[in-house]
Amino acid sequence: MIFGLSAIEVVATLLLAGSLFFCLAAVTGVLRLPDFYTRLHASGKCDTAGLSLALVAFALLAGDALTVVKLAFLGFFAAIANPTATHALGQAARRSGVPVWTARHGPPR
Amino acid sequence: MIPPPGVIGVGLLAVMLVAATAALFARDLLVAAALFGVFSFAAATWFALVGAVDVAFTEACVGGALSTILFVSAAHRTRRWLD
Amino acid sequence: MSPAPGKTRLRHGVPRILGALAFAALLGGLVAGIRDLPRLGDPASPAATHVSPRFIEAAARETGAANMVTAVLADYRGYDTLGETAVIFAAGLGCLIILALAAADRRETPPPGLTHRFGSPILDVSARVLTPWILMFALYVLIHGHVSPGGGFQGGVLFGSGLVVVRLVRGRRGPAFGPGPRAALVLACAGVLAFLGIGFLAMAFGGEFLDYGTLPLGGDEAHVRELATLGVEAAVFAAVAGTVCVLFATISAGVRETEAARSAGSASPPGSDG
Repeated sequence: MIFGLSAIEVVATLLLAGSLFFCLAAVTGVLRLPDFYTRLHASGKCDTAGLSLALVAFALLAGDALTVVKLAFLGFFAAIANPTATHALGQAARRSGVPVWTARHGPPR
Repeated sequence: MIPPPGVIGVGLLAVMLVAATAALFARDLLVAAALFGVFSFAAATWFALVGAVDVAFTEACVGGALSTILFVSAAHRTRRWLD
Repeated sequence: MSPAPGKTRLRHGVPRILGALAFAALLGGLVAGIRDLPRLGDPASPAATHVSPRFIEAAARETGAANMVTAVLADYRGYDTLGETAVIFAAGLGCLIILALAAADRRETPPPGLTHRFGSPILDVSARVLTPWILMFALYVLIHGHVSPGGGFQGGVLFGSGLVVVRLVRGRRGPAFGPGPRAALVLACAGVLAFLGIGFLAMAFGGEFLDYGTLPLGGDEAHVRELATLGVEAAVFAAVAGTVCVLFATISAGVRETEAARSAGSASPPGSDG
């Protein structure tokens, strides 16, 4: 018992905090990184990590086997679909000739 | 009883309003399609929030997924940028 | 007098002002009308005092569907659903007619701004993994519509989307999966006709149009209505899934796949080192 929370609730809170951190990192990356590919890199990885951590936290708090199974399905599909979408976006951008940021472009804004 | 929309509901409605307005004024049709997807998912979440789960499900399927695909395909067929 | 290229005449002058006035009048009327609407979720509103209690009280007993929305959509308001299905089918047909006519005199230059290129092992593997689940979930939504959110419409859209995903990943020239445009059109027609057929079948056995209680399916009336509702949902499923496939096939038919795309994009893209 910490702050009136059970052990499971403490773990879930920590996981949710981690999820929040990754989502925040994704937003920061999308806003601050210099070009499309680096922004995609930030949003894709951090979104997947944030969503996975949040789903684990929800599963810990659910207390219902069916809900846990549904959340596991959600995590499975997100783990496949999210990186695939990131890959598709990056590939489409590269094939459409979206320029890659290099040091020649000067320091990032 | 249906709960009042609350802070989250008002936020979702604001997102819908902004996304719809931005989609109207977007010069790039792909941007407009993406903004319409944002609108649809916000609408679906709001429907679920006020208890209309069936409608939310339909909105997420049709508005969020299918219409966006069809809009992008249609943009492929015509042109991407508005004059 | 033809309009200047890139501009339509509606952008300037009197029609535009008239349009703005009409829009302002309509908007003002609608906003004024909001005041007379009952509050959101008001239990004393007319809809909540006369119609809803009847459905809430009797739906599960009369139709065998625990999900009241399904009971209302497919049974009490089956005529509405028939109309909706016909409208969606008509939209698919309209798209087919207009775009097929446009394809007859298709331009040979690709539309500016977009090129469509296919081919990626990652996308292909992901589609292989996800599509069976999407299709199975669509069937689950259809069959489970009696007790949980969902039904024929959502299931049909999901099923069609699952097929469209494969098309998106593989392109038109890739290995075929699912019904082609013609088969999809037949599927959509069959769905609408099956819906109508169930309605007329109820008439043939002495009931009203779309009043399923008289169908000779055995068991008590609630059970018969449950089975008939499932049949109607399956008909809507077929109509919507077929229409989705037809819509996507016709709309994407004009998208040109360039030579470079067909060789799966191994060449270096233009301007990538800029």
